[in-house]
Formats: sequence, structure tokens, C-alpha cells
Amino acid sequence: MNKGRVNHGVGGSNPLNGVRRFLVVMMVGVFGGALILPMAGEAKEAVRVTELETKKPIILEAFPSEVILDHQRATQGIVVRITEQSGVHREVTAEASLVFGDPKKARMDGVVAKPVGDGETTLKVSYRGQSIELPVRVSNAQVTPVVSFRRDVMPVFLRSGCNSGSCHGSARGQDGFRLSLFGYDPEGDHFRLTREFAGRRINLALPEESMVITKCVGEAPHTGGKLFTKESMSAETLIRWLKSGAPNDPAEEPFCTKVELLPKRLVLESPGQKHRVSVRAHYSDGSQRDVTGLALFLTSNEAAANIDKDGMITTGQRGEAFVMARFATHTVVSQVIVIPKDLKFTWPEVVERNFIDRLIDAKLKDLRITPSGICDDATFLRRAQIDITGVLATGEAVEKFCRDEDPQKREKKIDELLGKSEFTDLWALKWSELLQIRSDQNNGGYKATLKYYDWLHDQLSKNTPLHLIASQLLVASGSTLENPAANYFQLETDPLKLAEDTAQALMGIRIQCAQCHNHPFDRWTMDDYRGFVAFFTQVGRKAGEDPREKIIYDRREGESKHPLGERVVAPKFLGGEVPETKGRDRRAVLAEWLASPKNPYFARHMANLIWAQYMGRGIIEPVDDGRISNPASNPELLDALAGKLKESNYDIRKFVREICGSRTYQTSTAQNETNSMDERNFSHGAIRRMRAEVLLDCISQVTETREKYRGLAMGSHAVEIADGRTSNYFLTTFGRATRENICSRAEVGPTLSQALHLMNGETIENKIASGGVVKKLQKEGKSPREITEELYLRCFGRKATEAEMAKLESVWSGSTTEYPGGLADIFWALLNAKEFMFNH
Amino acid sequence: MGASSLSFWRKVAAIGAGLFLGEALEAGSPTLLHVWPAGGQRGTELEVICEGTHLEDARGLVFYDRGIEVVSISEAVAGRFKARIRIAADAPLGEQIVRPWTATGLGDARTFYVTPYPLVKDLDRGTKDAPKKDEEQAISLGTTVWGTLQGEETDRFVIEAKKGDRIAAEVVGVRLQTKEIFDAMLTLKDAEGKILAECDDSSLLVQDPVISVIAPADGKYHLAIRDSTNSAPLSGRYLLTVGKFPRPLVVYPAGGVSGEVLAAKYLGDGGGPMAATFKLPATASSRYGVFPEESGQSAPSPNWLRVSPFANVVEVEPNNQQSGATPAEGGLPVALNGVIGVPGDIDYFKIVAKKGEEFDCHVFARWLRSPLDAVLEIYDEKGSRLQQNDDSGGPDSYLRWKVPADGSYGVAIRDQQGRGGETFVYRVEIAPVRKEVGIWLPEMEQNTQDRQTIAVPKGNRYASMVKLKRDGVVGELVLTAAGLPAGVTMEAVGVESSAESVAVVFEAKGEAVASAGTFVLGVQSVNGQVVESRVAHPIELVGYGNNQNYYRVTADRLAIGVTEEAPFKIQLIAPKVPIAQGGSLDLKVVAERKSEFKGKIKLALLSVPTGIGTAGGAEIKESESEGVVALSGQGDAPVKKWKVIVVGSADLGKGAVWVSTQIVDLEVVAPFVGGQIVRGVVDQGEKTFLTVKLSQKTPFLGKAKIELRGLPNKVTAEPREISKEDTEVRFEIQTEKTSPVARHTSLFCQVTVMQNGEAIVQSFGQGGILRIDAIPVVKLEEKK
Repeated sequence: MNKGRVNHGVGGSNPLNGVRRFLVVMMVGVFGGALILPMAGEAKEAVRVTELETKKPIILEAFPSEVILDHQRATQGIVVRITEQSGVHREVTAEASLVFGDPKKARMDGVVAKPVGDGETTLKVSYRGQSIELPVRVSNAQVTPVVSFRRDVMPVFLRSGCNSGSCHGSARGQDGFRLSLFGYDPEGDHFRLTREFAGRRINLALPEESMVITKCVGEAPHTGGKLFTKESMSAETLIRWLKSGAPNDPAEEPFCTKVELLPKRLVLESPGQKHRVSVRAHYSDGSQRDVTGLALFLTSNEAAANIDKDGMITTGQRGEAFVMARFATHTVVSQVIVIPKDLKFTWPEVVERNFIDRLIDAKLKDLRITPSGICDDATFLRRAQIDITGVLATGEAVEKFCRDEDPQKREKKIDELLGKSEFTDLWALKWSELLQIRSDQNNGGYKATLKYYDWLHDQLSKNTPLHLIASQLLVASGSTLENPAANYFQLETDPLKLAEDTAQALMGIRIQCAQCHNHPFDRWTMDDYRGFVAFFTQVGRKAGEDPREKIIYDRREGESKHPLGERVVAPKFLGGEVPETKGRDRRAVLAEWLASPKNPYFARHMANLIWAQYMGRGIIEPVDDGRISNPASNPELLDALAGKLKESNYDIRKFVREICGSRTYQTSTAQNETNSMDERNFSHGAIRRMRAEVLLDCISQVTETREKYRGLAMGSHAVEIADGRTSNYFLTTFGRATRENICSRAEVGPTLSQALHLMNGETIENKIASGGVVKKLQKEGKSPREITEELYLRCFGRKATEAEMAKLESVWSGSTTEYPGGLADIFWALLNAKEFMFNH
Repeated sequence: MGASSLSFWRKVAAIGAGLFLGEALEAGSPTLLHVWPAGGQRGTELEVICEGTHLEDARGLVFYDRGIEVVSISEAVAGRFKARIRIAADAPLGEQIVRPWTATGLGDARTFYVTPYPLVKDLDRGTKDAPKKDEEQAISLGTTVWGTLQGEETDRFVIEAKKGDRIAAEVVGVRLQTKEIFDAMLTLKDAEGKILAECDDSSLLVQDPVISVIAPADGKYHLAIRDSTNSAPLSGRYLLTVGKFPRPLVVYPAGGVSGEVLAAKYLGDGGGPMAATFKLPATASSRYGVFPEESGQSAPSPNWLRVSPFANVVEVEPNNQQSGATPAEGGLPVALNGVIGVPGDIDYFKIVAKKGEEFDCHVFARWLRSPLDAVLEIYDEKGSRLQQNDDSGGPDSYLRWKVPADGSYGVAIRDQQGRGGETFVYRVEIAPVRKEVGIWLPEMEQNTQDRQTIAVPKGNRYASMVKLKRDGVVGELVLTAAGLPAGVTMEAVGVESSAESVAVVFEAKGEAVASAGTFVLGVQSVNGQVVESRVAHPIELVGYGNNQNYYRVTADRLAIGVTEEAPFKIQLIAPKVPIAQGGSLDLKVVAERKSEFKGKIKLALLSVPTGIGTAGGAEIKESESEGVVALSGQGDAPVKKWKVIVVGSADLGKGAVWVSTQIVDLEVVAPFVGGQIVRGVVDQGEKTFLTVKLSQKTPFLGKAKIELRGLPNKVTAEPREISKEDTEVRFEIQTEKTSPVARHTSLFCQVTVMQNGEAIVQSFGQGGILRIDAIPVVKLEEKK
């Protein structure tokens, strides 16, 4: 080690010699593999461990809750399950007794109910002494239904993957035959099957010999292989349709309005437990139908819970999965929690500060996960400072906070931080990314950008309710310089993109897919897409007198057209009604809905977005991808948060106070045996790198240096930069968002250039030198030990441990005022430590 | 003034000999970036610095309006000169156009502002004794500050005011910048730091700020100016005038009848509305400036009025519906005046018109600096909308309306964005269809003012294109000039009905005196009848982005100067033959050089006739006296007679000097012969015949030479002769063993007809094919 020591007299003006620096770093413990933080210690709270409630009654349930059979071929599969004392679900359909009250109405064929005669009766489900009754309704028991192309034939193509993008659903079709992608164009599909090459694809004289059958059942060569057997329900449906003359549907054919996947939630044991699900479709004429045999099943986590094509779940390892069923244009999900078999789990008595902790704990109990303890004061202070204000506490403030014995001190600190202007700066930055605020010669250049940012900052500073900010944006008209919110319509001028961006930024919904075909993993159809676009087709733009200015106005004309047949699609809220817009600015109608309780998305999205900012991860993650197939990890919590946000009239400060005040936010990053694998349920604190702007601000802060950014006074914070186009090498390297598209979240993983820039680049080196912090502390007459103490407090927000001090003593001994090398090296090493760069 | 002709030639000789002595040499094409300070108090003398390029032989400044004269020029170097100017006590206040002139040219137009107040320089923060960053400069009410800012810098001023004093301030900032925008912003605070007024942009001064408040108490007031984006260009220049003067934003009604007295109100001032009466000028005026004044202090810039020859009607509220429309009792034409007083306001007027009448309906709102974004609508008696316009008159509305039937009509006006307020003043003039020609000089080099003036060297010619915009004027026209300097004449050719521009040539006698000033171009019909016209020459002062204009002024005159002799003259030798469609012609240009001048002279057609092409790079080489501008006619070039002018330029080391030839006729005629080359095939080393089918178009005398061109390498064909009766001609094609094997598709025929001793060359049959084969496959039979 002594070999590495360099005489500072020789080292000259640059005392930070590489070899020496590395050694210091080793001592500070920067380059450890995992981030093991000595400070991530838990507060030493005595916790009383109690037995998990074990006296739960056994619950017997059957799905669906009623049996409706409305024609001769109608069937309904029944799923019976019990909830065991441990909370685990078990399917017992085979063991249960299923008896109809009146056997002249319906009968059981295995686990499937079939019609016998018209009328009503009940189905008695009994299991080990418990029983329940399901109402049964049978009608048209003697009537054989006509095969419908849309209702019966199209689902076969979806379930068998015929119309997927890699097969006939590709834009050019496959092997000369094209189907519309995921079946967005039934009319066209019918044409291509029956008329495109007359007599080729179907053979009405010999339906079984039709190419569409022989290829699917493997009797003729088929690139896609054999899809089903000739005896399968799929083949039978196709043949019946062909036998009836391959008719198209009448214009008024009922369409599927809703699909249910039952049961909605399952707690199963690993490995190898099986459980069936049931899928039921509801139609526009009020009819219902068991479509378990027609739906397409998927799982989000095969390792935890796999699902086969008939809807049978088989558990794998411990974990959580969402199983999905897709039918028609609908995708539905059920949550499956898989816990180890016969797990001995005791739930510790943990602090519940508010509803957040209660709902988090409920999920953790289900998962048999023990949350980590609460972090200590120093860790809390640093975490809250960075999250809420993007600024570190001074050494003095850290010491004061840790000494404070007020039991309310954390709440008070949160309130104090929420009152700072830096809180507004951080959220203005976040919203600027959401709204892609960046200058461009075509959109008014820097002036319009600055005005837009200033407007946003002003709104946040005044604590304008978030839904009002959103609605002000959507209705903004007039000059982009006089009413800066109108820039919302200038930064993006394409109605399609505006609709997409609005859905994604303000509701967390990605509807992009539905531009060209019905969304495969969500509910959005092309009609939904074009209907939402229709809110933006009448936005007028004209030049202002100033070339940097545009006038946004309501043109009162311009329609959204469906690409199939160019028909005009009326404005329709996403997942909502078709509102009356006549004589009104369509955007105003949209804005009213967006901010109203009728909109199920806005509050949830905002709640999730804010949550993710403080917890490092959204309850829906990514936060702007709220599709059905990417469900919330804790929907009850998300709903409660959304409710809280609405209740507070979208007051962001009140809402953040709620989050940061929870135990969940203050949980330590140290993990235990049960939660080390958990990344979704907030059972421990998240370790997050500071975002680029905050990191640079913090480096400037602790080194007492200033930066200059365009349009800002010397010494301003990087988080205050208005324009997405303003950046510098440091910010770009650390992933400052360019705001060029809606997805450009500042999410850049660690890169080599980041590490190299910090170690060898100008930023830290120059800032340590130009800030002269070490010299200043020396001039104040502080000892090397005191200076080291101060540097630790500044950078890490904690005191150095005795072990660290002992190691560092060898570094600082020998440093002088003229060459403060040893201490500067320590400073350098602290700034390069993960403990500095990360919020933990 | 300046160098004699002799010393001039000595200098030119010095250039020729490569002796750059560092002293001012003759230059051309001067440019001007700015005049600084860009304003002065009337009744004073001051020195201004003019910065630009090629200014070493500066002679003076041309001010477009009266009242300012140049006393002396000093310290002229290439990049700048100083001018001492005297502003008369009665010089008009406000903005006027100014250009520098030099011995060899006229520079860019910039603006200069005459203020009623003494000029004070801002504190210079760049020097050693500079004030500290936030130090304020004390100024009194009644001052024009000329200052500069950079980046996020703020200039701060402190003013003493008494309770009830008006504190008015206005800036010329954006309007002074030539490249980057300096977007000034004003903030006025009271002694406690409370903001009393803040203004970034204003409708009155484009995007420059204006404020006007009544001082609430005796004491100090703090005024700050900065760039609104905290990013002023390197040297953001401004003129800031602060005073007790009234600073209304609009006048209402915004116009009146020429020669009459108008009783009106100034609106938008911090002290509230002010009554005013104006004796309007006897002649109509597109925009007439009036300067509000109180207690001897006048606003430094005007408010605007329209002066029109017809009656005023002023709206009577409520007139938000057609049923309550304010009637225009006196009939048409008429000027309708009103204010869109509150958001959502709409004003209706009722007019009576006769079937077949035609009117120009023009809203004047933004033109008079009202913030209104007008929409104009005309309704029939039943309330059905007949016509609507938003922005055809700039941001103002304009439409031409042909009355469909006798009856009464509704005229409605509203704000396009549904805004409204006290100052949303407008005036709708419903006037007979205008018959007028607008005249200006076109932009020759994108985004520069290069050659947008007339600079005629003594004893030489200078040519320029002139743009014309006809508004209801038909027939052939002739340009006329008024106010040319002594010894300068203008030659213009007739302007055809369909032409949007025309070339003119100015000629200065050798004894003309070097001078600069302005003149006016007009038009008359070919039979001498007067046609209404006006010079409306746009001067792009501040640009933005790519080719966008931020601020421009429109001059009602053009600049002209007689410059010192150029070292060469050029003459175009009139061609004795026409150019044929699909043919070519060389225009010969002869230079008369001063013996010392050896340099190259670049040549170009001032205006290239439709369907004629010229190759770039035509020139008279160094020390030579002849050059050629090669023309080629397209097959569909219109058959007609054109007037052409060749302009010549030479860079004497520091900017170009331009002269022109006289005007010469050029005729485009139909071709003599057309036809097609019959496809041919030949083996390597063999001979063949290639037939050309001729179609005779214009009879010619005697024999014409016809050549087969575009043949591949190592293939030859002897020229042939044809007469006007021939229907085909055969060329004997001779190949070699090594002639390239390929399908050659670039053959064509060139015909030369001699006329008046000169050749008329034309070609046809482009794309003729000759295939050369390597081995004989089929022996080609001779075509019969």
C-alpha cells in the first residue's frame, strides 16, 4: 500500500494521482459488487411476531355465478373452488357434486352444463358438507343456432393464431392468403375466404374438403402446421359454417361487449397445483356465452403459473402471475399468486401508518413476504431530500435532524421540503418531460418553450390541481406566446399523434397499436382509436404576426376517418361514451371528461406517476403502459391512491405527503430472506440512481460550484432547465431526457461512459478544484478528521464509521493546506461512491 | 467629397499590380449592419457609428424622411465609419429609413428613430470602472437610453416620480436587431419592489414592450430591461424611452375622412382614455401616424389612423345580432368603425348595395396595431352567410365582394379567438375595387438587400429588375421614373399584361455628379394614360429562422446613387439571327476596359426569357475584351420577341461593382426542321447507313448543313446538306474494329442555317439509337 503513496510535491498541481486515487477508493469501498450500504441499517424497533390468522373458514364458490343456456348447442363449463384455511384456493369441481334441481331443464356432461328443456331451475353445488345454488336459465333448448361468421368463425382464427402478425395477419398475408390482423376487418376476411379466389379456399359442395379445413387439420401441407383435429370444436364450427353456405352475418349481428375471466384472483401452491378458469362473453343483445373453448390464453409469468390452451393453470415456482384470456377485441386478466407448499410463515407486527401500508401489507401477507424495517433517520433525510427537492441536506442539517427527538420530526421534515421551491422545480421537470417541452424552429423556438415551461412551473408553484392543469392544456387556444398552454397543440400537430400522446401522457394508455389494427393485448379497437383522434381533428393552427407564434383555434371542421371505408368516426372517450360535441370545441368536451370522475384513467395514472417518482417503480410499470395485459401489481392500492388524489382535489403536495409519510416509503433498502426476490410489491426500499439533473446539482452543491445553463442565471440548478434541447455533456451522459417522444423517460442504466466521466472526466475533478471546499475547511482550522467527517455528512448524509475513519487516516496524514491531496482524494472517492450517486 | 477620378484609377492600378498598401481602396456593394445609436433627439447634433462592410469610401447617409442631414463623415475604414448628423427641431418623430452611400455603391437600409428626449448611454459594464451587476442608473422622466445587453444581463434604472405622474416607457429592441432576436422585456417596480407593470410583447410595437402606469406615490421607481428569454444576442441593442408622455395603444375611431377634423379617443393608456381631435391630411393615407402629447411631452412613436375619402360610421351597441346591426346610412363606400369590447363580442353593421357592384372589404385592425384578430363575414338579409375571411389581409381580413342582388346586407366582425377588450379597435372599409400597381425591387440574393438599390457608375449603365403587382389593372404598361438625379436617364421596355416583372436600364452621363437619394417609379399605359401606382418596397430588417421575416418596413421610394466611374463598360452585340426552339445561340458581349483594369468580368442575363437556358459561369476572361453568354432554347420555348440585358460584375478586391449592357432584342422562332433518327445496327468494323426522317417546319433559303451528333467513340458520319424540300437524309456510318459494342442512345441531329451571315443552330431527334454488335448475327439490309 505504501508503494502507492505519491509525494504531493512531485505530484504537482494535480494531487489526484490515479494509483493513489484508486487506493482511496478501495478504502471507501466504492467498487463493491452489490451496493452494500453500511448506513442502510434499520431502526432498531422491537417487533412482536404473531401467528398468521389461521382460523379462516373454508369458502365454497362456483364460477360463473349463474348458468345461462340459450340454444340447443349452448354449454357452460362450471369451475368449483374452495378457499382453504391458509388462504390457498383449490379447484374441486371433479370432487364436488353438481345436481340440477330440475333434470328436465339441464344436465351435466362431466363439468359442462348442457340444455334439456326451456325454463328455470338451480344447480346445487355441494362439497364436504357445504353447498351453494346457482340460478339456471334455459331457453331455445330445441333450436339449433345459425353459425355466425363473426361470433363463431372469427374466434377460431384468433385462437389458432391464423390472423396473428407472423401468419396470415401479416400486412402481405402468408402464402398468398391474408386475414386482417387479429380480425379487425371481418367483412374483408369473409370476402377473402369466400370470394377472393372463388372455389379455392372453400368448397361448399364438399365442406370437409375445403382448403381452409384440410390445411388446419393437417390433411394438406400447411406452413403453419396442424392447428387442430378434425374432431375439435374449431373444425366442427368451420364445417358447420361451410355446410350452411359460408354466409356473412346480417348487418345487425350482435357483437361482444364484455368478457369475464373467472375466478379473478387465485392463491395457489407451488409446484404443480392445477386450476381451471372459465371465460364468459357478453353480447350487445344481452346474451352470454361460455367461450372458454374459444379464448386465447396467455400468462405474464410462465415460471410461476402456466396456462394451457384450454384454460388450465399449472403452478411452477413461488411468485406472481397474471393469466390472460383474449376473445374478440377483449383481453381480460386474473391474478395468480403462487406460494411455496406448506410454507411456515409468520407475519410480523409492523407499523401501519396509513392506508398505503395497510394495502401493501395485505398483498405482502398474501405473498407471505415480510417487509423490511424502517430506515434510520439519516437515510430517511437523505432519501426525502433527494426525492422531494433534489437537494442534499447540509452536514449541519443532518446532525440536527438526527439529534432531534421529536417523534413527529419526519412528518415535519416532509412538510418543510414540500414547501420549498425545489419541489416545484422537480415536478416542472417531470411534467416538461411528460409534455415533451423542447424548442424547435418550427414550434416557436426558445421563447415559446420558455413560456410554456414558465406557465407549467407557475401552475405547479400555485398548487393548481393536476386535473385542472391537464384540462387547461387540452382546451388551450390563442397565441402560443400569450397563452403558453396552447403550445400543447404546437409541439405535436398530427391529430393521430396528439391523441396517442394525450392518452399516454395524461392517462397512461398506449393506443398506438389500434391505429392500424385492434390492440392485441388491450381493449382498444380501431374505432376507439379513431374516436379518440376525432377530438383533435378540428384543431386549427395559423401563423401569428411573430414568426415564433402560432394561433391555436377551433376550426369547427375536420373529421376522423376509419381507414376501412373512410367512414367518419364520431368523437368517443376512451372506454367511455360518444358525447354530444355539436357546436362546441371538441377539446373542451374532452377536457371536461378527462378531469371528471367519469374518466377512470386520469386519477389512477397521476397517482401511479407520482407514486413511481417516490418509490422508484410504478404500481403499474412502466407507468405509461397501463394495458390490461400489464396490470397493476396492487390494484387495490392504486385505486385507493387514485381515490385519495381525487379526495384531495388533485393536490400534489397533499398526495406526496401521504406517500412519503407511509411506512412503505420509509422502509429500509436492506432485504430479508422473504423479500429479496420481490421487486414489485414495495416490501423494501428501492435503490435508485439520482436522475441526471439531480446528480449534477448535488455534485455542484457539495463541491460549492456553479453551473451556467441557457437562459438561467449562473448557479441555477439543472432541474430548472426549461428546454429539452438544452443539455451538456454530463447531463446527456447520465440520460437527460431529450423529450423528443412521449417515451423518452430519463431511464438510462449505468454505462461505462458514466463511470469513466465521473472518474476521469472534468466534472468532479474540476469541481473539487474550483470549489475549494477542502481548502476552505482547512482555513477554518478544522482537523483532517473533522474535514473527513464534514465530507461524509455532505456527500452521504451520515457520519463515517470508525472503521472507515481508521482506514482513511492513512490517506489524510501528510496533506497540507497547499496540497490538500489526501483530503481531496477522499472527497473525490466519496463523490465516486455508489452511496453518493444512489438514493437509497 | 472624396477621391478624384485620377486617384481612383491609380488605386485600381495598385490592385492590378497586387500592391495592397492597407489604405482604403475602392470598394463596391457596401453593406450596413447598424447605425448606433439608432436614434437621436430632434434639434440636436450627434455622432453615429455605422458598421458594415466595404465602407472605406463612405460618403454619407441617405435618410428617407425630411429633417436629418449629414454634417460630416470621418474615420471611414472597411468595417465602419462615423457620421455627424444634425436633426432639425421639426424633424418628424419616430422611425425612418436610412442607408449609407459610398463612392461605389449604396448600402443596406436600416432604421433610425427621432426622439423628443435627450439621449443617455446605459452604464457600460464592460470596463474597469463598470458598475456592479445590480447597480441602478438614475434617469429622469423624459429620457431616451441607448444601451446594450447580453445573455441574461439586466439593465436597471431608477426614476423619481411624483404621485399622479404617468410613467410611460417604450423600447425599440427586437426591431433593431439584424440577425438574432433581442426580445426586450420591461419591468417597473415601486420602491418596495412590488411589480407595477411588466411587459414582454405589445401589439403596438410588434414584440417590443410598452408600459404606462400612474405613479401611486411620490418616490423612486425601478425600471429593468432584459431579454425575455434571458438570452440576448452578443450585443442586444435597444433604445428605451421613459417619460411622462401619454402612451395609448390605439385611436378610436381608427380613421376619418381626408381633409376633415376627426374627434376621437386615445385608448389603452395607464391614465385612461384621452379625447383628441385631428385635422386629417387632404390626401388619403394608408397609415397616418399621430403622436399623443400631454403637458409638452410627446410619445416618441405614433398611434395609427386611416385617412380615407369616404364617410365614417361608428358602431352603436348593442349590435351583437344582425337584427340590431348599426346601419351605414350614407350608403357605400363607407368606413365602419368599432371595438370588440368584451370577449365574445360580435359587431353587426347593415349596408345597402346594388346587384353587380363590386367592393374590396378590408379590415384594418392589426395594420393599425390593434390586437384584434379579425374575422369578417357578410350575411344576406335572411342571415345566411355569403362570405367569410380571417387572414387574407395579413392578420387582418380582406375579401372582394360582388353584390348578388339589390338589398341590404349584414357585415359582421369578431375576434377569431373570441377575445375582446377596450383596445380591440377596428375599421372595415368597404370601398370600390382598387385599381393600382404596386412596384418594388426584387430580392436578388436570398436574405440580403444586395442590389436592391440603383447604383449607376458615372458614364455607365446599371440594370435592375422591377417587380409589379397589378391590382385590377390590365393592359401593357410602361415604367416611368420621377426624381432621378441630374444626368441619369432610365430606359424601360413595355410590361406585358401577364408580366410580373420587367427589366430597366439606368444610364448616367460621364459628367453626372456623385450623389445619392431617392426616387419614385410609376407606370403609365402604352398610350400615355396615367395608371395609379405606388412604390411599396419591402425592406427585411430582422429575419428569423430560415427565410422567415420578423420585422420589415415598407419604403414608398427607391434608393438611387450616382457612383464613381467603374473600370469597365460592357456592350451587348445584337444578334442578327433569332434563336430557334431546340436551338442555341451565343450572345456576344464586348468590354471596354480602362487600361489599368485587367480583371475578369462575370456576365449573366439579368432576366432569362421563358424557355431559354443559359449556362452559368459566363465571363470575359482576364485582360480580354470579349465574352459570350451561351443560350439554348427548349423545344417548347414560346415563339416571341424578348428584350434582354446582360449584367457584368467585377470584384475589385472588396465587393462587386455592377454595370449592364444596353437593351437588345432576342427573338425565339420555330425550328426549320424536325424529325426522327431511324434506329440503326452495325457490326464492329462495318459500315452502315442511318436514315433520318425529316419534317420540314419553317422554309429556309438554300442549303442547310446537317450533322449527326452524339456518336460513340470511333464512329464517324460525314455532315450532309439538306434543302427545304428534303424529307429524309442518310448518313454513312463508319465504324472501326474496336468501336464500342453497345446500344448507343445519345444520337441527335444538328442543323445549321445561315442567315444575315450568322448561323442559326438547331437540333432535333434526341435519343437516336445506334447498336454496335460484336459478331455479325444478321446482315443488316440497307433500308430503301
